[in-house]
Amino acid sequence: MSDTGRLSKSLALFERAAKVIPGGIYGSKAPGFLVPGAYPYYIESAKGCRMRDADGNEYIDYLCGYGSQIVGYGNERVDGPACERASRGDLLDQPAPIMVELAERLVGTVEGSSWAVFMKNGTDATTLAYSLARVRTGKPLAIMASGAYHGAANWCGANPFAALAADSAGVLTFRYNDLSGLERLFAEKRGRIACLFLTPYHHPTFRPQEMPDPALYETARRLCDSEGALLVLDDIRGNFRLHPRGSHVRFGAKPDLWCMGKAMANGYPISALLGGVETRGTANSFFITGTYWMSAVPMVAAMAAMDEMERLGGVPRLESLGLLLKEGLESEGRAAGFGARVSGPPAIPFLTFDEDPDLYLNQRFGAAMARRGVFMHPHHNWFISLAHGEDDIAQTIDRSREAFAAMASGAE
Amino acid sequence: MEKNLDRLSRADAATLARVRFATTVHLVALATEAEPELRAKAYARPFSLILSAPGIPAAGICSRRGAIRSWAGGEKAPEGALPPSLALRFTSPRAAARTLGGGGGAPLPLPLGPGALAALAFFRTAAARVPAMLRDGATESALKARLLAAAALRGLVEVAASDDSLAERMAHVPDGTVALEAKGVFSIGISKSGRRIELLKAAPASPNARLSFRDAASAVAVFSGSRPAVVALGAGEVTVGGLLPLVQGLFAVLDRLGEYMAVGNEGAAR
Repeated sequence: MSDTGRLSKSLALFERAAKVIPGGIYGSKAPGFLVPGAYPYYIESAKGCRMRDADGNEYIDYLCGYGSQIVGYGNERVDGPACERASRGDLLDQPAPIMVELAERLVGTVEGSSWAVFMKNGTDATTLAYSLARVRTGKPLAIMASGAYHGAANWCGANPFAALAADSAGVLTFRYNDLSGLERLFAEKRGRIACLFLTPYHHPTFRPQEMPDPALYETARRLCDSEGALLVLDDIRGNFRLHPRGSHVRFGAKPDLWCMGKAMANGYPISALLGGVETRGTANSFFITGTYWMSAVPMVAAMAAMDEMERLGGVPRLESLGLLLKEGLESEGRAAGFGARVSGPPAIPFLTFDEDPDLYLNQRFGAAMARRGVFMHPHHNWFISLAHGEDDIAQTIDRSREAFAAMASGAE
Repeated sequence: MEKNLDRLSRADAATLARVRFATTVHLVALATEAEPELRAKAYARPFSLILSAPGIPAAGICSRRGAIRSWAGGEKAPEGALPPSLALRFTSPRAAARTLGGGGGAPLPLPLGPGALAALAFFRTAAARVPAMLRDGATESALKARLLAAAALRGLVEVAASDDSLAERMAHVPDGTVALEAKGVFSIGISKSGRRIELLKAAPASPNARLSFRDAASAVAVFSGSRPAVVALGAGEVTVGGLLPLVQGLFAVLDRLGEYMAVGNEGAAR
């Protein structure tokens, strides 16, 4: 399966890396999470929705920096103001005025929120939400859906072997959309639950995505209210791709806290925790800080990215492109004899095969597409950006036709 | 984990002893099949031998009618096995782990029937021969790969069954079957259900996941710990297909096995 010629520089870099970096490449970018030998390990550059790997191969990108790219790589309307801000200083002794503007803008944008604080990564935001909920309620436990990803910290980490059992002892799980299971968990742990974490919809790795049961958010709100627990919406993967005023608006949810990040600054390092009026007092009492958490460049980029999202058509445009991709892939897959199914919202699609829950076909399809210049992750949901166009989608579908045909004949 | 056997907790020492029981009997059986000199010794006279220590399941090996069989970890003796000719009894799991890890001491040999002396002579020779075969540069790499794969997988079974610190975590790993193969070298199947890992008689035709080594050398490198699995994966020496979380979970148990295998025999034999 290895394309040693096409990816020779990637492989050579990986060999060097393995001598000085644990695993060569760690975490979600590790080769083992893709299909080793078929996908590039190192990306050299990107523009719009296209990227070029270390060997010079070009790809139409559907991972978008794990969702952080929403208006395209190298977007001048974002990078221009960000570079200009950098020339005047990024990390200063005190926050730059842009911090106030960004907080005002987010609070004005995200329906129900009244305050915002900033950090770097999604895990920073979810970890702060977890701490804040425990302090506010004086209770120890968090509930989340099994398979949901809320960050890489030990308290919520996806790898149970990498943490001490005690690290994650405060987290209980329920099966997503199992409302009676959730009710049972709240009843069993009554008086001990600080918060319920939910992503706007369920986007586990290695499995099809799942939209929320129509009664999920109403049930979640009722249970949290009766327990005095906080409902935390982890919108880091979904924000600005599901609804311009926060993904909760799309599903009629009423969270107490919102975790945001990824697309909000088009790849510049910033995340945010937002809250409603009720939680402001607790947030006031927290010592919230990190060396880089108030750097100005990502804040300028976030403001510019939000402008650019609006200019380029925002969520409706993403949905339209996503639907084109979904219909095209499912149709080409079926024509080749596969039960290809795209799950999740149109702007955050993921392809699986009905006949193969073990994902062998995902791996074959992903590898076949990577060899044809399309980067579609075999195990993690994809992202559409506003830099994708109808032509890119059409090219992708053309290449998928070749990939499906090659799979059907076993010649990929 | 504590690296000194003397300071290892009682539970971890028991797990280590189970690992050493299982790897010893299975590797002795494999090595015997591969080496004419050992075969001659083993098949000269039928016998059945068990290793035992208080509080852990016994392991055994028997030779009968030109075939050698082994069992461990609470498995039943294979059908047709003779009643034990000899028991090698260790005073404690810690003593067993020490002796079988090359740290000195000796078990108490208890003759139980005909063939006891032949069994003892064979076992002493074969048990000393296995580490030499693994170290010896002249050992064919395919044989070395088979021995190391057997050691790793038998160790995996015992660690999963015995190490309580893994029990809750194993629940997060999906159940299913895995085929492990290196073309022309070995083809093995394992199944994972709850916290239990079992070796299958043959690699499943439709496993939930597949782990393939490019060649014997790749398997030797990964199973001996000289090449981290994640690096071998990236370099294309190993490929994984299918249900990745299942294989990732097994890698984590293999890492735990590596911790046990790194326990040293410091201090005096007892």
